[in-house]
Amino acid sequence: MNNYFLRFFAYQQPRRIRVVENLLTSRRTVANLFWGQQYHLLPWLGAARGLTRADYDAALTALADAGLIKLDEQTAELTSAGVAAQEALLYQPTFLDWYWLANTNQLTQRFTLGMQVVAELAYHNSRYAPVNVSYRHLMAVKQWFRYEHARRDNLVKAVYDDLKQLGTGLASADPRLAAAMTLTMVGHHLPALTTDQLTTTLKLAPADTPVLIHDLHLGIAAYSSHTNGPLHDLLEPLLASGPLSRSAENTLRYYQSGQPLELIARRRHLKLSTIREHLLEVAILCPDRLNWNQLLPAEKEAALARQYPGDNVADWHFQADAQDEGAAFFEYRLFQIKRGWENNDQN
Amino acid sequence: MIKTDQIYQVLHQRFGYQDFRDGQLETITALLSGHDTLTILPTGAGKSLLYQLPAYLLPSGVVIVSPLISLMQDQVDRLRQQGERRVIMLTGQLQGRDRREVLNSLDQYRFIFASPEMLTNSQVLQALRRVRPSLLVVDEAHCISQWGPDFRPEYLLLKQLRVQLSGVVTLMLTATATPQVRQDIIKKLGLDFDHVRQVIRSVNRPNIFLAVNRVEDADAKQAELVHLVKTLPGPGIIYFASRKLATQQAIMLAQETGLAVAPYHAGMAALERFNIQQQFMANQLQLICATSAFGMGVDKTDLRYIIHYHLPANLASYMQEIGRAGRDGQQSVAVLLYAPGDEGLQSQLTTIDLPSEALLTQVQQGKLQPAVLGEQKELFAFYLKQGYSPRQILRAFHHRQHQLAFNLQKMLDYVGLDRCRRSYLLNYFGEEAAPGQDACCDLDQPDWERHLPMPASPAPAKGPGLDWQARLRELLNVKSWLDKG
Repeated sequence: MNNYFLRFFAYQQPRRIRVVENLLTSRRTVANLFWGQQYHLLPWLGAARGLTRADYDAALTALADAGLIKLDEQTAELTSAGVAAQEALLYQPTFLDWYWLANTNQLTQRFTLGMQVVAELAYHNSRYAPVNVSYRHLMAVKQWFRYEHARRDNLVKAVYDDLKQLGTGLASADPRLAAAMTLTMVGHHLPALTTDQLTTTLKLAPADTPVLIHDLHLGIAAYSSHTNGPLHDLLEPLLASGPLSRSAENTLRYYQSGQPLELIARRRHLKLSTIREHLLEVAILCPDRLNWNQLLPAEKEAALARQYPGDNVADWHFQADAQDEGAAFFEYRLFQIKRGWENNDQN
Repeated sequence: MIKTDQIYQVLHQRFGYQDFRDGQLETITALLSGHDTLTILPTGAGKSLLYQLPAYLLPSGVVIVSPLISLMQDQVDRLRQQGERRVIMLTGQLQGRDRREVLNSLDQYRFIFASPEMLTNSQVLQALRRVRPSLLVVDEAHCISQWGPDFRPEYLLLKQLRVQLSGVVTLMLTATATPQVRQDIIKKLGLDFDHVRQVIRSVNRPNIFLAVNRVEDADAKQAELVHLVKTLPGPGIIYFASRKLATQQAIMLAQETGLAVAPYHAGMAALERFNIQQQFMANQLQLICATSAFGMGVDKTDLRYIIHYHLPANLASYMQEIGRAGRDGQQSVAVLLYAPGDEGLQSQLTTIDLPSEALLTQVQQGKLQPAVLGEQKELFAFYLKQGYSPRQILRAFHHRQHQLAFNLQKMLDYVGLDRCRRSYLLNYFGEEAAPGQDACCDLDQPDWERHLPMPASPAPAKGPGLDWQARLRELLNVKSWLDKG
């Protein structure tokens, strides 16, 4: 399992260990998102939400002890042995681009209980122990079930059709995804497999299993967002409409209507620095939705280019000599983000 | 006044039983007549029914306080399995809007399970007062005595809870309690010993053979464990003192014996634990390597053996854990493995580092933060908040340490016995020795491994295959509705 973390580090590029941890657990500060983009790790945002600091630190220490990473207080990078071990991780996720679509931890709970309820219905059984999920999911599934049961002639068949279509889609990406979907479903006297059992049954490397499971749930989310069957109805309340946080989306709407940042801050009863963070979030996650010429006019960009001449934006250090440090840092970060993806495009 | 035939009617209709087991009707009648009752029935004798049945005859909900979330979850699962949906669990996991919603509609529930720490929350208490429950159940009531001063201090608040709920009728349940512990339970709940009905049945489980296998060292213990797992008919449970060891041994034993084995402990995700329990029930697993988190509510009747790899902290825990074997009445066995020095680990687990009185006083006066009190800071802070003086706290803890050491010594005495183990156990729990029985313990019958008449293992059930479409058809019972067109 420790090897799972090898995916997130690179050879001869020390990466900040807390940034990697924060990305996996989905702590969306602008700094984490920025570095996540620099490390090409944004699609892994929220891939291990249940990860604890203790487990993460212990895993990195174990990897360092095994000679697979070089670890110092703040950063880690792969050793050549680490590169070889990383290459042994064979599972390539398919649905990672949908990383923003759902919190897979929440989605798993609702999906598993929803499917269990239908599976028990298929056997006309109402006396069973439901899987342990939080109250919120219990209530949501109860409501969903009542609603679907009342409006569909044969809910079991409708769910079967949905799952068959979903399974076919998953299998075309990787047959193990379809197998994992049904093997982790709880049925009537048909227990699901645990993660370890799934690893053995699908002949996966233990470090690949959590990746496959996360990928599966993103696949289920993606399918549900594009269809209108019972699965869509079950999971739709958990699906995000885009990569931005709701608050950043609101700020963007104000901004697009041409309002100055100070006014947006007043109207939204937020600090100006928060509004700037929202726009930086947009710049990282949805750059096409910003008017860059307005945010970073050509002469400003030219001045910043003189001040920060190097190509490697990760090596830059903010030079705080302006009167309005908040505004200066905002422009610096915008420029850094823009340069970052321009350089990436060239490479 | 509820009549006996009404009680039987619920028994038949709700639970599908024709008759009560020993001690059940007596307890239920006492409760329905408004008597606080302490019931001690051996593990597997049907204690849950004692509050489940009255819940269908009483005017308002039943509140059940349980020491462990895993235990509550087991009970909740079992009620749901019986088709009961008016059941809720109040734990720290219930937060925010969900919690408000639940508390506002608490009177809708027939069974309200609560963890002890929830009883310190004023909103929860207020909601419980509104419900005016008909019955308060203190499950695993020995924990009031066993755990009170150290692990679950909130159990001491049950006395206040009773007062706040206007002296609600209270049922205290446990499988094991010495006469001293019984008194302690009643006292700590603020009840009058002379006015509490006591329904006590022997803790003896004649169909569980008792054995201690003494080995020289850790290697020999390992070899003995493999030997036992290979020779004893399953299914079985092995208890370990650490999660890590439970996990490692599950892997090792699966390789060595070819059996389907899984680990089970509180550090695993809820869904994983659920899946393992279900697989075990369905005979897809033949062996569970567990910590004590597993099994308080396990309802698998055909467990053939319980092995303890480490020494339990006391005889009450030991009886509870081995009591999960042989609920079907068939011959079963409890084996305790012991290597010299094993007691060291257990005394380490039960030792609490005590701060000085001066330090406690400074925290009490707000001059220092509770953080200086070390790992158990919350525990000490709790007592200070409840108005105990530093000296009282230290005295209680010293007393407790002595008691823990005494309990461990009793456990060690059990290991080192040269006379009947069953008689010793019964005597410890304040009972007369049971009449002699054929298959009793290894001291009476040293070659038990060869001669003990045990039923054969059930045929292992196959796990699911890789064909996802076939599994999907089975999950949704496609054949049944396809045939109907």
